[in-house]
Amino acid sequence: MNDTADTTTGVTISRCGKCGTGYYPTRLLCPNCGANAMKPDKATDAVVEETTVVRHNAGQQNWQPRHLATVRTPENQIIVVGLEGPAPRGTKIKLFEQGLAPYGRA
Amino acid sequence: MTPAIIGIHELPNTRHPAPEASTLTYMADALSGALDDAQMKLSDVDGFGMVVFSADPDKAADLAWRLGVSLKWITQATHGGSSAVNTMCHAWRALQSGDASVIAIVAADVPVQAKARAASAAYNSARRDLLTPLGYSGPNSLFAMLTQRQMAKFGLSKEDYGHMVISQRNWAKGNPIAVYKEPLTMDEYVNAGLVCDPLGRYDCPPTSAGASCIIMADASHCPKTHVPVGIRAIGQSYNYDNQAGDGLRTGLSKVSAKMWEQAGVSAEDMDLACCYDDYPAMVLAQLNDLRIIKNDDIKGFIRNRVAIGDGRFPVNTSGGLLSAGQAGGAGGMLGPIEVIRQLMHRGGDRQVPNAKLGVATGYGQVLYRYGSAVGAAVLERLS
Repeated sequence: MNDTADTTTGVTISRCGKCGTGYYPTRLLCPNCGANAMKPDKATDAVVEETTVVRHNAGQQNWQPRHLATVRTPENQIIVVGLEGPAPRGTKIKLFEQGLAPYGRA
Repeated sequence: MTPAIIGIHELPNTRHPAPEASTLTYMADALSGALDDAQMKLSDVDGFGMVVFSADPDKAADLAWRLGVSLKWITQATHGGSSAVNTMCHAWRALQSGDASVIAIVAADVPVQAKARAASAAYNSARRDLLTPLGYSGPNSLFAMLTQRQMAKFGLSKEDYGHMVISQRNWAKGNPIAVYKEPLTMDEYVNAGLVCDPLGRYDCPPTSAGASCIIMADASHCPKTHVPVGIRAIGQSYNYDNQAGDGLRTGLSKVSAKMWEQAGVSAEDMDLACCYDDYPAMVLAQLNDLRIIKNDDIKGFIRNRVAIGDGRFPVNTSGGLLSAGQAGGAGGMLGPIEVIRQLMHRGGDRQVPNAKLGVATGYGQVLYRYGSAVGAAVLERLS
C-alpha cells in the first residue's frame, strides 16, 4: 500500500437497480436477472477466509513480503484484498480503497 | 473426412534460450518440424491456429504472411492455458465442415522477463486495477489461496501435493524436452522455499521458452511412419460461474458429462490423462471434474492411483508444466501433444503400454480469482 495516496472508505461494487444483487468486481449487466441497470455502491465490511504471503516476485529487487487475503462480505461478494499484516481466518475487517485497489484493516 | 492429428513437433523447453531466438523463430521451427513429420509441404496448409502470447504487435494474419501460408481458415486464441485445446476443438470442427483441409496449430513463446512481468501485471483490467497494486506477483497468490480451500475441503496435506509433483517429475525423466528431469524427493519438496504460502518452489511451473506444432488433416494423409490420432469428443467452457465460486470446480464440471456421452467411452476407459498443471491443485480439480477421480475422493486417488508405482494411472506423462516447463502458449499444448505422442506410440522411455485412448485438457484465463476457460479433448489412436 502506498502510505501517501488517498484512501476512501469501502470498496466499489455494482448493484443491480432491478433485483438488488451486488457484485464485485463491477459488472456491466446483472448476471442474476439480466437487467441493464447497474449502479455503483459500496461494501464496507468483510471477514477473512484465506490469507497468503507473497514472498517472492520474479525479477523484483528488494521485494518485501505482501499479505493478501480472500475476504467475504455479508452479501457474499468475494474480494481479494491487501492487508497490512497477518490476519487469521475469521478476522473481521473494514474495507477501503486506494485508487481502485481494495484493502482491508482489522 | 476423419479429422486427425497426423504430424507433431516440439522444440526443447529451456530456461535460457539462445540470444537470437524469438517467439517468431520458434514458431517457424515448430511449424517446419511438424510439416516434416506429417510429410506435408508449407503450401498444403490452408488453416492456421496461433497459440502465442508474446508475438505483439503481430497477430495471426501477420504470422501467416511471415510464415508464407495462404489460408481459408485462421484463428488466434487468447484464453491462457486453455488456448491450445480450444484451438484444437475449433480446428476439428473446421475440418469436419470443410472450411479447411490442412490446419497447422502453432504454439510458442520465448518470454522476455520484463515484458512477461508487465504482461502478467496488466493481463486484464481486473488484474491491472484490483490485484497488481496489492503486490500481486502473478497467479501464485490466487492459487495459493485456492489450494488452501482445496486442502480444507478435501482433507489434503502438503505431502499429497508432493506425491503429484514427484510423480510428474518421475515421468519427466523420460522426456528429452523437459527442463527438470532429476529425481525429486518428498523431503526436497516439503522443505522447498515458500513462494506464496502454502505453495513452494516445486508447486509453481518454471517459466521457459518452448514451441510445438500439430498438423490436423484427414487421417488418410497420415504418413506410414506413424498412426494418426483422432478426436472422439470435445468440451469447452468459458466463464462458467462468473467467478462467484471457490474455484475448486472448473468449467469441465459443466461439460464433461456431455463430452463422455459424445465420445462413447468413459473416464474409466482412458489410458492416460494430461491436465493443465499450472498448479498441482488444478490437476486434481480437473481430474475430479472429468470423473477420473470418483466420488470426490481426491486423497484416495493420490494415494492409490498416483503415488503407487505399479498400476498407477498415468497423469501428465511429459512431466507437465511443473517439470517440463511452462512456455507460455506452448505450455497449453504440452498436455495435448503428449497425449497425441503417447497414442502414436512415440513416447520413448515414458511410453504408456498399448495406449489407445487419452484425454487432454487446458485451463486458464484467470479473470479475477481463478481460471475461467477450459477445453478438453478425448483422443484416440486410429488404426
